[in-house]
Amino acid sequence: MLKKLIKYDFLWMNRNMVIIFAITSILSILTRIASNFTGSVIGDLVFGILRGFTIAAFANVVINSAIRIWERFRQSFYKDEAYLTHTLPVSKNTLYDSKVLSGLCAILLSLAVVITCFFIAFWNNDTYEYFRSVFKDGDMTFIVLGILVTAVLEVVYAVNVGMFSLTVGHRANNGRMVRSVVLGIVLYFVLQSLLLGVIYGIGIFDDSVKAMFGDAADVAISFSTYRTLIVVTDILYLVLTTGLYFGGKKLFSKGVNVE
Amino acid sequence: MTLLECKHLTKTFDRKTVLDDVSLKIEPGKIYGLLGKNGAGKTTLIKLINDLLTPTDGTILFKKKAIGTQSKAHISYLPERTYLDKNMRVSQAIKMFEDFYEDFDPDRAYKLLEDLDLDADSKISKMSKGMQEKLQLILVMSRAADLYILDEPLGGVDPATRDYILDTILSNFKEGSSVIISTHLISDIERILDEVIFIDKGKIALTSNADKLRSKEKASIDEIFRRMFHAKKAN
Repeated sequence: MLKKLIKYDFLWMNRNMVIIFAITSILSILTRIASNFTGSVIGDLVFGILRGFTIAAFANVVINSAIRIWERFRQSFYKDEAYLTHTLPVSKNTLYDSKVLSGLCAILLSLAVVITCFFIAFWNNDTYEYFRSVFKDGDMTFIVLGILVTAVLEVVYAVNVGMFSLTVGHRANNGRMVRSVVLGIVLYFVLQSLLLGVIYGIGIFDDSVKAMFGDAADVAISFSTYRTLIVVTDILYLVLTTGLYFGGKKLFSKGVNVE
Repeated sequence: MTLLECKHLTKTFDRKTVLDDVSLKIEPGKIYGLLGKNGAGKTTLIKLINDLLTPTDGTILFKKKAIGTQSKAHISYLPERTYLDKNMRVSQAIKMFEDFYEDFDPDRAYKLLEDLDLDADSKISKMSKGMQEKLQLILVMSRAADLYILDEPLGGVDPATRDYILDTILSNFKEGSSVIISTHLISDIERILDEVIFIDKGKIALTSNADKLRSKEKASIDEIFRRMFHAKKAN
């Protein structure tokens, strides 16, 4: 049953996303082509415009995907379609899991598109050298993978904040969406501040981490600092996301009140 | 064995009680009319039975077990609302029901589609509300369920179509199963009822065998209902 639910959820979440993926890919290819013609006023201008559009398209893919995941969650659990969802012979836990897992698949697909398009549009020797100059003497594979894994965890965490907030907000009888949105925003920033606080705390024992919170004149980060930050951030995202997942699932399994 | 049993069921929203200490039993092989005025609590009761609302108090048992995955596999529910994904085609909705309900018969669904003159390739968003309601009725009645719960199946439908819908219900539900039909259009359905449940202001006002009630009161169910609630209002 879980597989079937995921299939229907995933198809719903990605409806029309193909068009967005295609536009983003075309913009990335055009940006890459334009990057070969810089050096003249028009060449620089065209490249600048395309670069701006491509970066905006990357953001659009991720934001659109997240919104569609939340919207599927809301429509399927609390709006008209809930009359079908909650009468399927499936447990509440399985229903919740299907939304989380299909959301995860949708986010991974979107991030895969963004990452691929990023490499198409922007990755070259200059970018490589830029990363090398920022992260001194580091293992480039670890650096790039670290950024990608953290980006995935950050988005998965944000999606789970939304699902948890929708679950809590819809336990009320009135103002359900307002409650969900306000809770989501507050929760996101509170947990992000907590994460920042933990990193600051590490700075007490690690001078290189502490230096990040001081004068920002020197942007170079040592590889060991980077590695510490990536590992700590990833662990915290995993802990927070797991907490939000189990908390939301427990509340959801207690029952719903469909409008 | 009792099919469905509600014990001291109460539902409150904020401080408003919409269902108050409701207890009732549904036996197999009977057609029940859940009758009441608008806002009497019929839909709330049905939503509680279908796990769309969480009771404030009380329990609901289906074949002596708490409602859940097992009860949902054997209850076929037609809500007042159109609940299908509007971007689907009719054939995709049929496939979805086939995927999730073991007792769903796609052949019967396609036969009913033909009878009701609906196209399997139509996109649901392009269909009128009436056609969407017919499609939902087809999906619900194409299941070999133990209990069918139909919430206002005749609402917003012209009198000619009402008879057609009632015939579809009568000729398609599984033998030995029970049907609960909730409506305020009593005169339209009273000919098919075995049992009646009158609900008013969130409480069960009367439960009776339909024939016995008619003989005792020497009136139709519709008249009895009108008399009962008119008298209450006068008091």
